[in-house]
Amino acid sequence: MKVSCLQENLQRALAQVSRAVATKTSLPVLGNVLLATDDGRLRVAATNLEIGITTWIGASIEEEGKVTVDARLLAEFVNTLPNAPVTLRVEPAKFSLNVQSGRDKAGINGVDAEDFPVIPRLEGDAYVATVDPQVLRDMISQVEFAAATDESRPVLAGVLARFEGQRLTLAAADGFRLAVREGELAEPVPDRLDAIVPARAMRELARILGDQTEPVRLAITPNQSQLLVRVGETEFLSRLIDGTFPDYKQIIPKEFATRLEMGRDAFLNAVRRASYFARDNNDVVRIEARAGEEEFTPGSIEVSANAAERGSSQSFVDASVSGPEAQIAFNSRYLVDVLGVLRNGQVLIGVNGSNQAGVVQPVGLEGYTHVIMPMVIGAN
Amino acid sequence: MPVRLLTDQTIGKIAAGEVVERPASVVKELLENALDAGAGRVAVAVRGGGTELIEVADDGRGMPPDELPLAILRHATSKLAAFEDLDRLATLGFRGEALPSIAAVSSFSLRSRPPGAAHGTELRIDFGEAGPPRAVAARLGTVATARDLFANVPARRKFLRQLSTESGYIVRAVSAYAAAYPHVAIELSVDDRRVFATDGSGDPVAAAVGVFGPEVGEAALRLETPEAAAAVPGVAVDGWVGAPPLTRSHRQGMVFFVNGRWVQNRPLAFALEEAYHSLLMVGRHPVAVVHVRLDPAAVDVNVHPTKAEVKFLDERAVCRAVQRAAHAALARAPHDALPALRFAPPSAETQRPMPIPPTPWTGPNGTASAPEPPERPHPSGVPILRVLGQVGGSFIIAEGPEGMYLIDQHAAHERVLYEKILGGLRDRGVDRQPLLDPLVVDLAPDELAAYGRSAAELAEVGFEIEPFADGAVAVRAVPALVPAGDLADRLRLILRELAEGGQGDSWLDAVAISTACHTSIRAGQALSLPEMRELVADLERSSQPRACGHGRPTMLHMTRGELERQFSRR
Repeated sequence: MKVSCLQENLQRALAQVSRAVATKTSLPVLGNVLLATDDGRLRVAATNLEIGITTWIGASIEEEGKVTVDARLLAEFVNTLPNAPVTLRVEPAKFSLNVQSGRDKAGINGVDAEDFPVIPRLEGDAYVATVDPQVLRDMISQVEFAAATDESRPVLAGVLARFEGQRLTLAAADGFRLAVREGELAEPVPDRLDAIVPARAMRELARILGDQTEPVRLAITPNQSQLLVRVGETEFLSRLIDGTFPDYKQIIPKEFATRLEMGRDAFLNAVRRASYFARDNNDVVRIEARAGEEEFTPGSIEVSANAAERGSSQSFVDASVSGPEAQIAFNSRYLVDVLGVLRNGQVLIGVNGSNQAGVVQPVGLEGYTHVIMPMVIGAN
Repeated sequence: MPVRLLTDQTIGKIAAGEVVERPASVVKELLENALDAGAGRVAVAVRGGGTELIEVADDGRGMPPDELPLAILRHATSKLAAFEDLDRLATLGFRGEALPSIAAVSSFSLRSRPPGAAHGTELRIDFGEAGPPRAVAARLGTVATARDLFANVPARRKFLRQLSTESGYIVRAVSAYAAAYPHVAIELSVDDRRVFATDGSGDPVAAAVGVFGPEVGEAALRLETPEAAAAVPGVAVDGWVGAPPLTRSHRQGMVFFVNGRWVQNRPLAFALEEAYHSLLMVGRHPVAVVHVRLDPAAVDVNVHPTKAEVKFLDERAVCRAVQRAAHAALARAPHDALPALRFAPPSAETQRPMPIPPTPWTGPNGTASAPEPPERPHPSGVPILRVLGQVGGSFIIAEGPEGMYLIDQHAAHERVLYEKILGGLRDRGVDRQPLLDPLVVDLAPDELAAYGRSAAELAEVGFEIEPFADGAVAVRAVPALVPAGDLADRLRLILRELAEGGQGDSWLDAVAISTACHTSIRAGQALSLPEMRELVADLERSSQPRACGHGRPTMLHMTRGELERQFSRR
């Protein structure tokens, strides 16, 4: 193999795939990056068997070939090279890569590329949907954090992606909270399809989407075991979680006895202040809503926390309160998580009593619903 | 006092001590008799931990009226004619000690009707005093009943543990036999509640599911006789072993039978665990029912009065056979095509603050780092400690004014959670975090029994659990201080510990201790520096920071002087 390309392109490609490089593995080749000539370009790929990332960069190819070398070592070396052409060379029947840029050169011992796992490619016949990259990134960020972090119920460690008509729905739940976000597909899909993507893979996908602007193509392999995403010159692959996602719709309350609306920033700040005191008391933050005294005066909500040993805090936030006065307690971390992924503006908290699931929604924006189970404060 | 011969009753009571050490041994002896009698169906019922009632009814061969009085004579047996026969024993019992021993310490009755007999015969023996046999109506087979066990041996009765613990031992013994004898339908009820029943279909996996719960069904891997090359001559191994996801935190899930007899044998358990090498997490143990069959002459079962221990002529060969069979079965276990890689938990790791330099002398410019809190002893007696790091994912190293401290992260967290639970119980009740959707947890019969006994206490410490269909419960809420994690597994561990009797001043205390233990940080869990600091700070604030709820130490201390001595500086 003999290839030359620009240092900045190679550096960017290595950074792009680095998130799929396995760090702790019994299969050393998974700690490597694959470099291969591919139809006049250089293909750079890495996989940890959970996800795989492949990207292509322009290169002038003198001799076809491929090799895998330690991903970190190559990236570290390339990162410090000047912005100039880099030549990559592998002697026939050898597995060591020579990297040269001007007077700087390195020989990196590698492994036969045949030992590297085959990363499936996006084929024409797979299930394909198209979506705006920034919409998808937004959707992922508003949902993935609600997925479970333990593997006891594997489907809950993933994010449900439901393709139906012109709509893509993402949902995640960890047993105590549920996040659902709906978004538009560029074109309708013929059949409904559910796929459960590991939450970690979703986070990596959001990172790859970055500031891309070209439409993103999503495909599910015919055996429904893998998700393939095409973003510009990069392909992202994730395994799917086998199973059926719980029927989340029945968990979402349809109506609320009490509706609280307030500014997101003010409310988030109040919750944060209380959370410091709640830390020593199971993160319990209490919310008490009072309607305005007359019809047109605003109501307010009190956000408070106390820890027997540490102290207590109260904050008040102006709010429009409709319905009877309400008291409810939430885990402060859950509130901070959801408020953190909403843009400033008004948020709605829907309450149906202190033991019923509460709902957080952005006001005036359709399509996002977050359900949190309140905490029950020691009854006796 | 003049020398004289002991009365028969006294001899009976003394001998009984060896064979019948606790109610579970009575159950085991009677159950073995039933199996020796060729029963196809055995029903075991106990009340009051076995001290009130033990009844074992079988549909086996039964005994004709004239043999009944003999059965309760010492060293009367139908299974052995001369000592030489011991080498060829194929039956479970043989010494003829069981029935007389049980009859000596209980109000015992034996009712039996062999096939062809018009009626049954009953013999009652009240604490060694035999009555005359009399004709009674009876079904085919034998019913042995022991009431008021140990009522005439107060010392033995005093040494029994809580009745629930004794019930636990009984469940364990009957479970082992039910799993090992799939051809016999075995049913157990404790305090008039059915604990489990097997169908007698002959399918070992079906029997295991009946006994250990449905999760076993998917994980059980049948042991098969290996190819001739790998086989150990003279030793046959069958049964099943659980695929690695099916594990327990204790070794009691491994059940061994040698020539059909339930045995405890540490080398066998060790050999089996070796076959799982690297497949199990630290502290997890396999679940398996393993039968070892070998020439009766190659094994001595007469080393222990209850025959619970055996000696092998060639122990290493037997262990090797078990290990190879388990190895072969595990190699057949399906593996995921794409193994999930384990990542550290998100977010908490990425925002780790700069670690505080580990030494107090940071140089002239070092004052910019966070000032250390003054080192003064806390009311709990533990000085304020500075966390330095973690060893083996299990122990936290910290420095205090008096030298170095090693803290067991699991024991420490267990102590902290235990005191938080107690604090909640004392003040205003424990905060609960309800679930969006109830979590249904399948329980093994003894876990379910433990739940039945502990429902009120579990509710007090913050669980909301309701009975669900068929050996399952629905969890609606968990204590708020329980960190996120595998709730089903944790609940099972808690119930398992309670099934074994628990530990504590009261049952509520036992439930609190188990809850704290099985929801706390485990050994082998990597912690970030802030997490370790928080844990150590919590421990400093606890009232008894030196030991966990189970009494294990939470920390070791190495003084500066000791360190200097070890480095030969003094």
